[in-house]
Amino acid sequence: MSKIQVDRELVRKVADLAQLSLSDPEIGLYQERLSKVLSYVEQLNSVHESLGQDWRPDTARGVPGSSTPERADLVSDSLPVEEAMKQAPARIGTAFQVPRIIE
Amino acid sequence: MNAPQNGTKTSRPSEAPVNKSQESTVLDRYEPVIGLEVHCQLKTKTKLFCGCSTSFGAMPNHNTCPICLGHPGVLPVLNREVVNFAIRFALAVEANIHEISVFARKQYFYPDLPKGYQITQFDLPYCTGGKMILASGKAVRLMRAHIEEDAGKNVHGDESSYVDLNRAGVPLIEIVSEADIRNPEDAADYLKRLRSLVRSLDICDGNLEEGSFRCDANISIRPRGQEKFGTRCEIKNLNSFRNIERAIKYEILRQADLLDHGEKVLQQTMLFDAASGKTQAMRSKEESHDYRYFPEPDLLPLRIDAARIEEQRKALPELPEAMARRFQEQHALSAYDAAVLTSDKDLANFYEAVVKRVDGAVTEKIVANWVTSEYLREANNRSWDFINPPITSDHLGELIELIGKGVISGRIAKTLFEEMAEKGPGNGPKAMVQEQGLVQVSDTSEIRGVINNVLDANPGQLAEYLGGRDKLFGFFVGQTMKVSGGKMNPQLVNDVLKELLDARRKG
Amino acid sequence: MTVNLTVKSIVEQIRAGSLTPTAVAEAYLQRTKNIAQKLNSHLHLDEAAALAEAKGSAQRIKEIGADRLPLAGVPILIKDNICVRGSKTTCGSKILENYVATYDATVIRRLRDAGAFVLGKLNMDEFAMGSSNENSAFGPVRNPWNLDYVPGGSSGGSAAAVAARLAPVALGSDTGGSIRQPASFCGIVGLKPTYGTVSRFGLVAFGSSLDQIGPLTCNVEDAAMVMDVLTGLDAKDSTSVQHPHAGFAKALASHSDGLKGKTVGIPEEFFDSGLDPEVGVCLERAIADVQKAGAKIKRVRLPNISYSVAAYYVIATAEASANLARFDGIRYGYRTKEAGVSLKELYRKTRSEGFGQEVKQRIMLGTFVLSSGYYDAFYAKANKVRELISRDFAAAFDSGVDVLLTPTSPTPPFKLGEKLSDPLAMYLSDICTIGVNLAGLPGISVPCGRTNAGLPVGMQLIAPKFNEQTLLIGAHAYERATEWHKDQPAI
Repeated sequence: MSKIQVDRELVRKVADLAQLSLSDPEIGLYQERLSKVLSYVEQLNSVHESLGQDWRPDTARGVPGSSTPERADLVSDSLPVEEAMKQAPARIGTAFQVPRIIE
Repeated sequence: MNAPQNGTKTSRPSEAPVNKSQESTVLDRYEPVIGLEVHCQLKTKTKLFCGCSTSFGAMPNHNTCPICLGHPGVLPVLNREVVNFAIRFALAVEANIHEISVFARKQYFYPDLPKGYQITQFDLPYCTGGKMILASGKAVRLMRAHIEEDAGKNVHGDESSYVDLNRAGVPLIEIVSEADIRNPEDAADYLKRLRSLVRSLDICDGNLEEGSFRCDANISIRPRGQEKFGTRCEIKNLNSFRNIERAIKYEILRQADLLDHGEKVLQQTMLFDAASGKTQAMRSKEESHDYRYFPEPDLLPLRIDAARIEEQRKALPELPEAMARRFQEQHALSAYDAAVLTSDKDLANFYEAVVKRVDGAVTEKIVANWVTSEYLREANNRSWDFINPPITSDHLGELIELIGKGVISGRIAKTLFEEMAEKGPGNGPKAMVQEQGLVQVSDTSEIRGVINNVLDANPGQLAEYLGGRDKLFGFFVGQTMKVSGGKMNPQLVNDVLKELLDARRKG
Repeated sequence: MTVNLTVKSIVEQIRAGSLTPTAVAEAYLQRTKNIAQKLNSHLHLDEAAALAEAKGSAQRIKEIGADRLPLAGVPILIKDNICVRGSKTTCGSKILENYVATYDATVIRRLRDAGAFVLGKLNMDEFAMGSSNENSAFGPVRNPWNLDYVPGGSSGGSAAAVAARLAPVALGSDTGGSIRQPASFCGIVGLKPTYGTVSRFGLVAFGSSLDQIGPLTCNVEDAAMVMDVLTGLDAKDSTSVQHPHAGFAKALASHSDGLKGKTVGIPEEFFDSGLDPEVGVCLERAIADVQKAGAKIKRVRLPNISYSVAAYYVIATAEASANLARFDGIRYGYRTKEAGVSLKELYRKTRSEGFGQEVKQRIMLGTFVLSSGYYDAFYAKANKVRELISRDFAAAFDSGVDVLLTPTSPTPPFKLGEKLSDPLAMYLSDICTIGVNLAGLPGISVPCGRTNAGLPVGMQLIAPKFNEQTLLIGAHAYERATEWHKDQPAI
């Protein structure tokens, strides 16, 4: 795989996906820092791995043969609604308020 | 619930700006290719990953806890019943259940998605394949089904939107069909059958209006004869069978219009507006999404072993198709009646309860006629629930039994039924018949007297009849019934009238 | 009352009736008043709340009896990424500056059930991202041995507070070394348990497949006592497991052989040119001491360990980028003060203003490695390398090694500001600890010497999964043989 070029556009795109807004100087700063880290991380490509095609990280997790635990379908107490709402930065009644969503 | 009646509404004239002849010429030239994605809310007591109640209609955010609110530090734990329900679905559509499946995080920001990601299944869903058979006999293959959590609800005001997370974390199975459907009618039929199936399985209440059964449609068109698929659009927000058919029809015309004018169909997410009957591109979906799926590290892979599958197979109820076959044989019904009655499991149970109550006093076909016509009409108009309807199977059975035993006429029975529907069943049909003196007259001498009076009161018509206008026989029957207030046994009226008229002809 | 107490001595005195939880709380609070400010170790010190907690402990002792409470009357400080209902849990971040936890972490419940009580909440690198505690939104923590130096991170507050004897034990969390490295920098004991041993329910997630809560204490015995309480299957954490060899304190007490007859593996990769010479000297002496204590030394290789930092920074940041998506200013936490913004602006301003630089950098890195077109080259590949590293460890243990001995950090504590400009240099300071998290193994750091400037140096022992007993027994034997753990900073 060819080397990743971390340009301003890439920083902007990634910040966009992560819902971060960056000032121009910040874009420069992260461009430099991400460049450094990514070029280090790219050494992973030189690892010769011999795990075989069937090996998958997602199915290999946990004790072999075990399945994710399951709980009984029993209702437990919800949070008192005041407690669920009291830390909301903005609310109306018992709903969280956000700027109008455009669909 | 208010059930298969949703289906009957599709036959009403469409309000969408779709012109019938325009539609047929478009379909002559283009073939629609339709795939459907259905989200079924599973009717477990609690959410997919926390113990909050899934009950519908609570005040905003009353069914929430730190886990489904996405508070810092919380972790998901899978609901066992969800997996059992999902297995039952896979068995019912003969899908392949995978021994190992994996939950993944699908990442995007939206106010109704508290964690900033949805826990779903991505490249290793719990089942793939399977099929649904349509009324036309055509099979629609299923691509996959997977388990995932629902998002909450955003309500839009003038300046703000409001977020209610009661629904956030409610379990869903998403059922994805192959693009095997070729016309809007089949799309609607597929959905009705799927809905009927999940209701029979008792895993989803199938309520389109409350959103427990939701459909997105992927639609493309291609010139007839062309093999390559066209560019597809996805339509969201389809909340009734009628709207689904309308939306698909509209979308086909929209795409055909673009192609006819040499323009291209853009791959877009469309929203259906029921008021205008049109589909419109969603503004918020214009930016391309990169969901950055990766395996959910807070859960281990889900393993479903053969023993568990067998256990769930044993728990499977009778499915709609099998039930329809049984109804045809056991109750001697037509395929049509059997299909209507088994389109909803509660309706089917109701029918069988009435048959049991009537206990052979009339044929099962007559019971079926009552249930599919009189009863369904009132149930539909009045949004009855078949589990606890105001007119119970006992009431209806009693009423039909009264006809069977010749106590009242069918006409009186219909009037009584309407009265019960309007005012409630009171003390039941038998009591009503007594109170209102509606017992059918089967005394031939009394009938004879009334008919003779009718004949004497209509000398003109009698003369015409005797002169050979046989059609007037019906007139005399009607008059007799009218005079008697519908209480006379119609068969006896027929017999006696014929006898008296013959006598007068001879005389 | 002197506060130079261990967990063990507190429990003994409580049981003997010569000490009450309230007296313990008061003594530590008194000492904390003078010192916490210098160290900036505490984020929330609510005296009334701490005394109420002590009362709760006293009540429990009255009801159940101190003999049946393994941590009767023991005060505990908590890293501020662990939820304590009703108290602030900020994770060292502005975005959670005023967030009050709505529930108790499982570890808090277990500690209270065992008779312990919460004394306060501790400073940390923002969302546990850092190796120096300079990434806290509430200012850096200082090393009690020399206030110009960092205490390590991300559990810097936990290590500094315990080293300064502001509590006999603190909880930390360890994703890539965040318990062991600060323990090493502050001259105390820090244990990272086998993944799944301690419930993560209530630990604000950083790298979910790597995170573990563990204790920081003044000695190995105390670590064992606290681990006995923390360990246990939790139905609220799907990745939690039933530990097959629990009962650590008992094992320590009954095992007098210590390191005798054990094989201690020395992974060559950790003793290469990258090792600071002063740390090297301490480690060589430690190896000699271990040998003197009766252990056999065996040189081993971990061929893929040099890729551990690269693999870690892909996996941990990928998971973090998703874990931190919930901080959006809608349901709780900081929201931008700017009025009249659109939803998109609300998200972006809230998150840009609320997160610090290092956190934003890691969120972007994690977002990038999962983004379309890069997933296989980075995230998938890193997971394969992770598996290779796990297998390297397994092969070393299979070759007859009981524990591995490594430096905890390749360098001694460094000065505040020294590594801030170079993200890579900071990341590489975790080179000795990260592999343990990738492989899900238990690791412990114990003090093993001091530099010429008097700063602590730690060594790390690593055992196979669920062999915390081996780890603790070995560390305990070393501790008795050397007594480095008795050194205290003169603060």
